[in-house]
Amino acid sequence: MSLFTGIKGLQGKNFACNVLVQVRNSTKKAAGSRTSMKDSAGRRLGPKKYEGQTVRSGEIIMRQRGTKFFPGENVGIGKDHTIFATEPGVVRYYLDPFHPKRKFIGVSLKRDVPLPIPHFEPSVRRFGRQIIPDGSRSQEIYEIGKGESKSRFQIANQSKILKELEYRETKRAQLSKEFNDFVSKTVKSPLSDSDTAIKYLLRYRSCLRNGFNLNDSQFNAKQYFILQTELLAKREKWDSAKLSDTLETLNKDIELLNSSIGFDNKHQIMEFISESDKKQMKNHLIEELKKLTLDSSNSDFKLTKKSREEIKKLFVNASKFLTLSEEVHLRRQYLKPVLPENKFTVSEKPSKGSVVVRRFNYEKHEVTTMSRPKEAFLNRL
Amino acid sequence: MTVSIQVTRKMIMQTSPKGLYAGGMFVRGKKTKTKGSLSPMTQRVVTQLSVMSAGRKQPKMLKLSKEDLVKHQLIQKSWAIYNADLRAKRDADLEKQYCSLRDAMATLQEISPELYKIANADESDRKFPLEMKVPTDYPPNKVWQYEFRSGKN
Amino acid sequence: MLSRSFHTSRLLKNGKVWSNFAFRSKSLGINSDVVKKAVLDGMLASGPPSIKRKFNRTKYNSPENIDSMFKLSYDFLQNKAAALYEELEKIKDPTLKDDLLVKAEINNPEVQYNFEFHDKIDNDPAIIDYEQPVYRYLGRENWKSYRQMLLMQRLETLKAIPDTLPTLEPKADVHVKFPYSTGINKWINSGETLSTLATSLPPVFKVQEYDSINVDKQLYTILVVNPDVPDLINDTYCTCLNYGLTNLKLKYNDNIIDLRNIEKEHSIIADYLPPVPEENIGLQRFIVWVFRNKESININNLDIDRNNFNIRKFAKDNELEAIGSEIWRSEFDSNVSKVREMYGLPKGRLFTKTRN
Repeated sequence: MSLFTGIKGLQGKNFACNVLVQVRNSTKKAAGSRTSMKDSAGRRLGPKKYEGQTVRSGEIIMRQRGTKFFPGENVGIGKDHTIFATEPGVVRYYLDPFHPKRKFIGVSLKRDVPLPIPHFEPSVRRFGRQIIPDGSRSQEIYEIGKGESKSRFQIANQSKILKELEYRETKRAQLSKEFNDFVSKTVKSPLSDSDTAIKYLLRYRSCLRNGFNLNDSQFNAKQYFILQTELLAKREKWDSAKLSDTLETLNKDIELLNSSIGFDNKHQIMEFISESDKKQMKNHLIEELKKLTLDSSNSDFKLTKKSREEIKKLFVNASKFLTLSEEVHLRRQYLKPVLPENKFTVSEKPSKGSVVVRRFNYEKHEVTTMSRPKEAFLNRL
Repeated sequence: MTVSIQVTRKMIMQTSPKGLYAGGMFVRGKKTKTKGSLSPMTQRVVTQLSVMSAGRKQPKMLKLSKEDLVKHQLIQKSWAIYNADLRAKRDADLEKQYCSLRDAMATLQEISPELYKIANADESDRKFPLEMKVPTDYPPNKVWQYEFRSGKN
Repeated sequence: MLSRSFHTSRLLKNGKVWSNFAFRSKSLGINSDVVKKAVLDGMLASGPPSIKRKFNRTKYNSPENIDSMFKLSYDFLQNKAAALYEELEKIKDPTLKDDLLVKAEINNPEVQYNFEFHDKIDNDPAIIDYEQPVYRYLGRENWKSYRQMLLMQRLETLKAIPDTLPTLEPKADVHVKFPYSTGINKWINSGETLSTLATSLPPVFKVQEYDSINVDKQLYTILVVNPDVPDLINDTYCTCLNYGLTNLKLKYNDNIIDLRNIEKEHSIIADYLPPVPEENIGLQRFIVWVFRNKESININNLDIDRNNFNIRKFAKDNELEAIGSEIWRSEFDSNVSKVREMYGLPKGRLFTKTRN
C-alpha cells in the first residue's frame, strides 16, 4: 500500500520520470512460507463408538494420536494407538482408581456389568467356542493322531519321535526280560502276578535313578500300582472285598520283591542286601584293602603291581554294597595310578631306571625336580 | 611395555627452547628442568596405567573358599556392629547433652525470665562471636567490635 | 529349668556360648569336624577342606591375616551373643524369646555356613533344623529374596488372583511334586506347563512354615482348583475342585504331605481329579491353595459341588486363612485320552479353534 502511494507521489511530481524508488518498511515478509503453507487433510481421529454402544469383536472404538485413552477391559490397542474391541459387548468410557491420571475405554460383556470391575473381584470372561461334533473333524490334520490332534512340533518331528519311542520300548523290553530271568532265578516263593512285579521293578529302578532314596523309591513305585488298582476298581465297580483282596496280594508281592531284590549303585539288578549287611561288607572291604596296602614293617602306604590286581578283584562286587561316591572314593584312595610321594617312592639321585618329574611347587613357589623309581607308576606313563 | 613417541619438527620447535635447530639437524641442549617430581620408574608406571582400560585396573574379585567366605562375612559384620555401637554411644551422649541443656534453659526460664530472654537473644546477625577471638601478643587498641552487626536483621 | 540356668550361669563366666552344645541344638554347629576346625581354629595346613581336589587345595591362598582377624571378631560377637542369652533367661514371652534367639545366633559363623552351603528345600534336620528360630529366620529371608517374589509375579500375571481368591499374603513356602505317575523327582516351577501324563496321579506337597506357630495343634487345608472349565450354558468359565485335603498336620522339618500321611477318613474333601483339558481350549491353570484352619473341619458336614466350586465362599465358611500357593498349567496333549480312560471319564469334547 505504501509502495503504491510512493509511486503515486512521484507521478504527481515528475510525470516523465517513472523510476521506482524502493521503500523500506518496518515489516518484512518472512522467508520459508513454502513449507508452512502445506496442510494435510484431517486424519478423522476421535471416537468411532460412544459410551453404551454395542460392538462386535474387532470393531474400532477410538482413533487417536498417543494414548489419550488407555485400553481397559476386553479391548486391544494398535500400533497407532487405535483402540478396538476384542470381545462383543457394550462400550464403556471409565476411570480406574488404580491409575488416577488415565482415562480408559473398555468393553463390558453385559450391559449390567459396570466397569471397572472391582480390583479384588474375579474377571468376567466369555468362553466363545463351540463344540465340533465328533464326525466332522477336518481329516488332514487329525489323521496322523488317529482321531486326535497333534501339535505342529509333533507333526514336524513325527519320525524322530517314533524312533525315540521305539528305542525306549526296546530298552524297556530288554530290561524286563533281564529282570524276569533274574526274578525267576532268585525269588523262591511264587509271585501271584509276575507281569506287575516286573513293572514294579522297572518303576522302582527309575525312581532310584531319579534320585529318590530307597524308602521313597519303593513307596512311589508301589503307590503307582495301588492307585491304578483303585482306579480300576472304581471303573469296574468292584466291591470292597475284592479290592482289598487284590491290594493285599499286590502288597504281598511287592513286600516279597523288596525283601529279595535290590539295585546296586549303577542300578543293576541284584539280590537284596540289608543295610546292616552292607555296612559289614564295607568294613570288611576296607580292612582287606588296608591289609593289602599297609607295609607291616613301617606302616606306610605300599602298592605293587601284584597287590593292585588283588585290589581290583576286591572291587568287583563293591558296587553292590557301596554307594557310588563311596566306591569312587575308595578306588581313588587304593587304586592310585601313581603312588604317593614318601621316602620309599622318591629316590635321592636319578639313577638308570628312574623317571624325572618336574613340576611347580605351590608352597615354595618354585619348580622342583625329583626322580622317582619306575615302580612308583603302576600305570604306564 | 615401551612407549614410543614420534617426534616431529614442529613439536621440537614448540617444546624445547634450548634445542638448536640448525640446517635440518637437531641438537639437544642440556636438560634444565625435571619433568614433574615423579621418578622415571613411577612415571613409566603412570603412563602405562593411563593406557590400560578402567576395567583392568579394578581390583580382582577375591576367590574365597567356603570357609574363608564365612570368615570374611563375620569380620565385615563384626566391624559394622562395632561401628554401630560407637555411633549409638555418641548419639546417646549428644542426646544427653541436649536434654540437660534443655532442662537448664527451662529452669532458667522459671527462675529469671529476663536472663532467659537475654540468653535466647537472636545472635544470627553478629558477624563474629566473641568466643572466636584468639588471644594475641599484640592486640589492637579496640579489642573487639562488640556492637558490630551485619545489618541483616 | 534349674539345670539350664546352672549351665547358662557357668557358661556366662567364660562367655563361650557358641561352642556349648549342652543346651543348644547340635544343628547350630558345623557337622563335619574338619570343616569346623578349618573355620574356627584357623585354616588347616592342607588347605580348605571344602575344595575337593588336592591340586586346587594346595594352590589356594587364604587372604592375609584372615584367621587372626576372624578370632577377634568371633570373640567380640560371641560375647554379645552371651549377653543376649543372659537376657533370654529373664524373658517369658515366647515371640520375644524367639526374636532374641535369632539375634543371638544370626552371626554365628557355623549357622551361616550350614545355611549357606546346604540344601534349603530338602533340608537335613541335622544341618538345617527349621525348629530353630534362627534357621526359620534365614529360611524366610532366603524365600523372600526370590521364590516368594516369583510366586506373586506368576499369580498376578496368570490372574490366579483375583480369579480364585482375591489376593494372597504369602507366609509359607509351598512346593509341589508328581512322583507317582512318572517317577520324576522335581519340585515344579510356579506357572510351569506340565504334561497331563505327569499330572495323572496325585501330587505331593511340601509346605514350609517360617512363622512361630503351635505345630501340634495347627491344622491345614490344601485345595487345588481349576478356574478354566468351560461353562457352555452361560458361555463363560467355572471353577472345578481338583483335589481337596483338610485337617493336615505339619512339622517344621517333616512337612511333606504325601499319601503316607493323609488320613483317608478325616482328610480327603475331594479325591484327586487329574487335569484333562479338552481340545482347543488353551492352557488351564491349576492353583494350589494352602490354608491355615481355625479349627478342625468335619468333612462329613461339608456340602460341596466340585464341578462348580466357589473357593471364596468355602474359605469364608470354614474360616480358612490362605498362607501359600503354587500354580501349574496344563493343555491338551496326546496323553489326555489315556488319563481319561484311566479315571473312567467321558471322551473329551472338541472345540472350535477360533472364538466368535
